[in-house]
Amino acid sequence: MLSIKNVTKRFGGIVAVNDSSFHVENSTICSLIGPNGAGKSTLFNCISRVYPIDEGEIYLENTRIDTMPAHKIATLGVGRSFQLTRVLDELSVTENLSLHTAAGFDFHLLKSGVTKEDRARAEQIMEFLNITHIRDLPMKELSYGQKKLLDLGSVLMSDPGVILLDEPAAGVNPRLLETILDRILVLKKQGKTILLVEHNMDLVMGISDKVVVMAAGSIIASGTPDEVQSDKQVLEVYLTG
Amino acid sequence: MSECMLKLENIVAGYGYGPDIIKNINLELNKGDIKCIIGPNGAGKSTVLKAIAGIITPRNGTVSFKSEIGDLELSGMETYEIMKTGLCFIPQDRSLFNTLTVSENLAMAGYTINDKHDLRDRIEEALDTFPRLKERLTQYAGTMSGGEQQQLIFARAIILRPRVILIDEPSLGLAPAIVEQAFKHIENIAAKGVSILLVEQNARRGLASSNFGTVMDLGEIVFEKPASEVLIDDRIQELYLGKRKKK
Repeated sequence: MLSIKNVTKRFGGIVAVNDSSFHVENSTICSLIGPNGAGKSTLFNCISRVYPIDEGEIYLENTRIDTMPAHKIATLGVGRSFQLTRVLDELSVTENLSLHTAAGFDFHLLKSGVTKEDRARAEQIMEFLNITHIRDLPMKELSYGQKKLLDLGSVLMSDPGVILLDEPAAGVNPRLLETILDRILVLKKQGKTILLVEHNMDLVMGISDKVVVMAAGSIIASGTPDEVQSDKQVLEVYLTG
Repeated sequence: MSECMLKLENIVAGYGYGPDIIKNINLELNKGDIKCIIGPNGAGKSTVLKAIAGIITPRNGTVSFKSEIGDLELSGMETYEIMKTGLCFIPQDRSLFNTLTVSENLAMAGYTINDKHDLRDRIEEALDTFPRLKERLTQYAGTMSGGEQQQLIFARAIILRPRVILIDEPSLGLAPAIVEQAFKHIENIAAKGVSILLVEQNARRGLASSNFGTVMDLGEIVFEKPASEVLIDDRIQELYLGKRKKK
């Protein structure tokens, strides 16, 4: 279980995340939603330790992770994607994927090159995402949607138990979106715990076990998709921007 | 029936070589009306304004505008040419010249007006509407409060004596009291017969000052209604919070 307890994050005088608490049960999908500027991405960045938090605690099972550096959190099995895809344009799909275990773990930092295991893992991932046909293409020839899919692949390289996905559906065409959605559901079946930040409400309400709603830095509601959709306060925060 | 000032027919637009962001947009704006476009993130609201103002060129369709000199087809014209015809665009980032004074900012707003005397009269007129600015003529725009900057933005717009003003997110980044002031200015400008098309994320506030509401999603207009009836429409819930899962 991933537990966020009373987390506060300030940027100067601005309180971006205010005393926020929620938890994500193992092998479930939880989505973080809210209007622009609600603090979703900031909270997300606090969990993966891109930002240190000012107050509160974050636990993975019984281990406190908010005090650890980002790469330590990754070695505990927490993987994350980024809203904007991060790839090396000149390298091929296989090469991009292979780099990820090497870069993701501190004990690999001193090794030279990419290992056989990394390549084998990259093959597995490409099969899982059904993209073996583009394995040798340089990244720059891929569509934006394919790059987003690869971004999911990069997260999976280290075989994390907890997967944090930042807007996996943004800018992706409907067909590829189906693939991403389907793969996320398969990951859940495999026992992965998934937390997403996403604006595509049909996607969020279709696949989430739990939805957490943020507005102006605070959590204003959480529950099943049905409960959140029936909550008048939730609609109101969207309508008052 | 009131006079139609701006008419969009089947407008399609997007950025660079990318996909169409707005598709088949049909929209009319009558004299003195305030119409507010609302919709979830990525609906294409701001893109509609940019396509009208010539910031991006529509890939298809027509934008007809009733200018002082007669009916004009704006689609394909450059932004500065469009502004000269009496249509003004206030972008989201407000684009004040922070390191220029109030007076210089007003002069820049009249850049396309060649007659100096005419420009002086227009600036006087704008200052009469926003007397606060008269006291601040030599102050740098960037050092003024949010509310004063907002007044300067509207003053710059009315210098062009526009018939139509497009406003992208007037409430963005403003304190609640200043948002109220901004909408009061918008209502006052419209009361003088100027037509206003605005995009607003704060749907409730935007619609409260408007006569009509246009709801967009995924690049298309979903429906249009008198402003007071928009938010009670059943479709709003689904648009903002997604489809209900079938049980």
